[in-house]
Amino acid sequence: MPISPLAPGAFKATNAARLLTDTRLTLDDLQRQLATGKKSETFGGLGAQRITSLAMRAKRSEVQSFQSTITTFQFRVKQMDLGLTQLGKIGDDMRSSTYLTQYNPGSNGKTTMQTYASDRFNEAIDMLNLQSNGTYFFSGRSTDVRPVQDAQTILNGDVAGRAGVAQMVSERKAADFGVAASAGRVVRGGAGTNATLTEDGAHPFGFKLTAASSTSGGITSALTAGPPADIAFNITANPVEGEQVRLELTMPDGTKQAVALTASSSLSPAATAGGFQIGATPAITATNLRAALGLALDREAATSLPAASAKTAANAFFAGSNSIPPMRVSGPPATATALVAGTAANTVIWYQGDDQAASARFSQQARVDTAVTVGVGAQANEEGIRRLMANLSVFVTETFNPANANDQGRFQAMSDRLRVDLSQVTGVQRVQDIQVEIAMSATTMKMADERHKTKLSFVETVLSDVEDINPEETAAKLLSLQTKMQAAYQTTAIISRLNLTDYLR
Amino acid sequence: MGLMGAMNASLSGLRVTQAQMEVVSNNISNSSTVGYSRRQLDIRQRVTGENTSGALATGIQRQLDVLVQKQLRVETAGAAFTDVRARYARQLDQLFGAPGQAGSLDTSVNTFTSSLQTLTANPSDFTARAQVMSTAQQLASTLNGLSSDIQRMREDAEANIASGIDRLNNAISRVADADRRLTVNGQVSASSAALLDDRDSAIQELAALVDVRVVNQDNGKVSIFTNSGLQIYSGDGASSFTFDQRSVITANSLFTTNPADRGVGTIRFNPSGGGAGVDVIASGLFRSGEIAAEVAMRDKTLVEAQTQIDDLAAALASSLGDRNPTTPVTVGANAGYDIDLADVLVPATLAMKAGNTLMIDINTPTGPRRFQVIATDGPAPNPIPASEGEGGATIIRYDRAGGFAGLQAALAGALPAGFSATLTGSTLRVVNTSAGNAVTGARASFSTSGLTGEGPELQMFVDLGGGNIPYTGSLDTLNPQRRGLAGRIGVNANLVADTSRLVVYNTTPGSVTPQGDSTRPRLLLDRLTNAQRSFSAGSGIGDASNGFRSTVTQFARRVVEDQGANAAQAMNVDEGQKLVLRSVEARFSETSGVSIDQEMSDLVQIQNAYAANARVVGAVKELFDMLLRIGA
Repeated sequence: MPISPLAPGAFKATNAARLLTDTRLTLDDLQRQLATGKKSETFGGLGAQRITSLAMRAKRSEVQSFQSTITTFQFRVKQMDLGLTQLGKIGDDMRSSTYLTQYNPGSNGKTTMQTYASDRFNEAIDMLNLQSNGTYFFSGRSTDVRPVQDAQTILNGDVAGRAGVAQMVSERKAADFGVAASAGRVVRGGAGTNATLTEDGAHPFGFKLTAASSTSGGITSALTAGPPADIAFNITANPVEGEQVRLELTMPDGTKQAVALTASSSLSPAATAGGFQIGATPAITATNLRAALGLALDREAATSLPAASAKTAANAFFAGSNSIPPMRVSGPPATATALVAGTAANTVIWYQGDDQAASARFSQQARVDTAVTVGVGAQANEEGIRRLMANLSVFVTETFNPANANDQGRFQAMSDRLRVDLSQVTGVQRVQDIQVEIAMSATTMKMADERHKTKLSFVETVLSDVEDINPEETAAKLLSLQTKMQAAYQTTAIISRLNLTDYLR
Repeated sequence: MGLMGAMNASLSGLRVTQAQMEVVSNNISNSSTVGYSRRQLDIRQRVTGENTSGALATGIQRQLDVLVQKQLRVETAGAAFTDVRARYARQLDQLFGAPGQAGSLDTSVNTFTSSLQTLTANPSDFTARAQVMSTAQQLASTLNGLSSDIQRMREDAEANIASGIDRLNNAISRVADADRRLTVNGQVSASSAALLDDRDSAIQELAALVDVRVVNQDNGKVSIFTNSGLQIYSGDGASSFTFDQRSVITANSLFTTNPADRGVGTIRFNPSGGGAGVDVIASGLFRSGEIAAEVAMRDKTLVEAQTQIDDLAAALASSLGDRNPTTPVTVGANAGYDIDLADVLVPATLAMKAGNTLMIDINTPTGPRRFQVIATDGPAPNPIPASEGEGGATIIRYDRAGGFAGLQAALAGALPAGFSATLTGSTLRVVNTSAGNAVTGARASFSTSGLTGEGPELQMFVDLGGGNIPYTGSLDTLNPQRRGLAGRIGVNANLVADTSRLVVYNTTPGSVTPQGDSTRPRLLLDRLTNAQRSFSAGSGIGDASNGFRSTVTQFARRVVEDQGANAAQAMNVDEGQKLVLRSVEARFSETSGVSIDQEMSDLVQIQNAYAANARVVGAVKELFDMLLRIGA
């Protein structure tokens, strides 16, 4: 109230009026408090507790935004968990079906298990493209990008001529096979008492000769490590029946295949792949051994080698992403000697998402408390998922001919590889491992959420203590003030009538 | 002594009672007139020779307690001061809004940070991005609004000073007028009591405007001094005050003693003799009263409030937009920091823009020290005033023309023995060179210039004063860029045009930031809520030597808290001062106030006295009649 000039004679009256006005203002303020439930309209009016009010309001805002983050991510994690559960189940189902499956290729060259695999492959693609509100879960940081191409493109390439899995597998098969005379890129040779096997060059394709031995005192074996490696057997004296010549082939996928040829006197010269006939002289035996070695290699080149090639090519395909394109066979496959990185122009890049995050899990992170950050990101090209997709795709693309004697062996080799590949191996990530990590993040979030609930209720209590009135107390104050004012009004009225003027007649 | 004597005495009684009637009626009619003090008729016996011959009205006396009157003047000045202060403080408090009210400063800051938190969870979500943009704009406009309201209040203060000066001059001339008429009349009469009242009420008005001390001169005139000793009225000829009011006041309109730089009006005192005037505000001659309060509001309280929100605006702009390219380094037994001075976009040039700072904290055997390099393009003041630096820092003014080597030389020259600053390419290395000394910290504040390509920092808030220019804190302009920033701050127009830049900070092909990358939103949030910053001591928050160190959000709360505390304190003081004033007024009124009851009882007495006197006249007449009948 501004300073008004003093009228000494009217001081008592004006002062009384002023006191009444002041009390009236207090009454009005109490009434406002009762109506709004708030002690004050400004921070100034809260007194020293305004610090608490400001701090608690900031705390509440912070806790609420943490809670909203948690809600968002809990929803996301739940969906991811469902997707990952399904992916894990696909892997387990495929693995167990390899124990039971029958080799029964139909007219389209596919076995029952392959048809099943094809469905599961499509399902897996759907799972990887899971999204909510335009946010993809398996794209790492590129949540706006659909992480995985459609199944048809991945398997068979597209109209622009980009190669899919099928093309890369067939190229790799051809590159690993080479030409029929030296199937598996190993040249068979030797003369006289020698039988030799020589890799046809220093390149990543075909069989790699990694060990050779013999149980016979009459047969020496020598391995030149190379590359290119070669193996030489020399028969100085005929072996005794049952003695073996052994060698080890390392497949493109790193698996090893042992080949053992048993010396036998009962076999015909055109021996089956399991052994060789002991001839009259070491030279004749060597001729038999050369033929047997050729047969054994041819058989491997028609069974385990294509299985390994397919797996290697599929692994390479699914390892590809925009910044790390898949490695492909360079040049005409049969004579290829090197791998070359594919390009986005000639190869389907199945995974379009982010491939540069330091950690797939932390490509999406949620700060759920002041010092707690959880990673809830995932990438479709993580090893566990990639491995599942590669194994599935091999089964989906392959065809088998019932008329081909070696195809059942090839099918078996593939099944074996899938079984091993999808089993639990220490140090190798599986889909289930991703799921466990995400679940742990979910647990952390849940715990943070519990903390936030407790904190929020504390903050609300404090805020209410500081800012809100106690209605009973205010009402009581209001009542007592009202009584006082009534008394004051009455007294003022009486006093104002008490004037000598009225009593002088 | 005879009948005639009695007659005369009665007649004088009648005259006196009539005069008393007049005084009483004046008292009653002026019972609630401002500045009217109760009069009483002085009556003495009329002495003729040795005898009393009736009564004589000698004059009209004002009922006045001079001591209380003096006290009243002092307390009026004090109350006027606290009243003005409380009024402004209450307005300021209201500007910052009710707790939890939408659009209030703390709510704006809270919603902005929580929208950033939401964005970190959904960086690619367009709704989340739009939400950040809208809350950022809301925050900027809250600051804009606060700034313009504070400046409007300063304009009010300016206008109030102008009207206060008018009233001051008016009151002085009323005093002079009363004095002149008093001297002409020469003697004390009813009219002179009226003139004295008039003069007192003019002085009382003066006292509300300025704290004054009144000295009565022998000739009945008064001399009026301010408490600071300035004689504003001397009894002969009136001096006057002038005020060159400015109609538009901005954050840059400040009071300085240099008339060329002064952005607000000042009060000049022009003595009656015409001698040299004096700048009242520069000399601090008004210490209390309404005008002093308005001046204090205009030049201190409101400027401080503006500085607080400017600091907040500057902290918002630079905490989100400034890079800190410092990395700890260990060289053998010594340790320190490497600072990359190169601009990210143009590596051959210096990353420091005009106004950017580089802070080096060291510990020496004699205690810790802090060095602050402030870059300039030339025009900045030399030396840079300490108020522009962080509390307690040794400021190194560095001209950007010196390039990398110039910066190294400037820092090497300033560091004490036991430390070295060396340059390799564009990397400045500051390390200790002997045991017992240590480099304890290095903080760079280098503004980014665009939206992408310079790391996750983001020029989210810019200075819209001259277009869409980055805030660097430059001191090169006429006014430091920070001053008034709260009124000009806005969301970067380029960001408004492309909100994806809230997330995407790198557009180099091959390493384009994915849309779902939360790096930038997390950095922004962290800079607001976790990173500690120093705030200038000029805001009145924290102590002058160390400034105030806190996060941006804490500072925002501290500002609201400070204004609330100021308001509460100002209102408490005002309430106390008002109580004091009331009690002095009550005491003053006891003596000088007209009481109708008193006047009424006086009236009864006067009526009785009149009747008695008339009765005496009647009796004298009867006696005369009787005497005359005897003669007939």
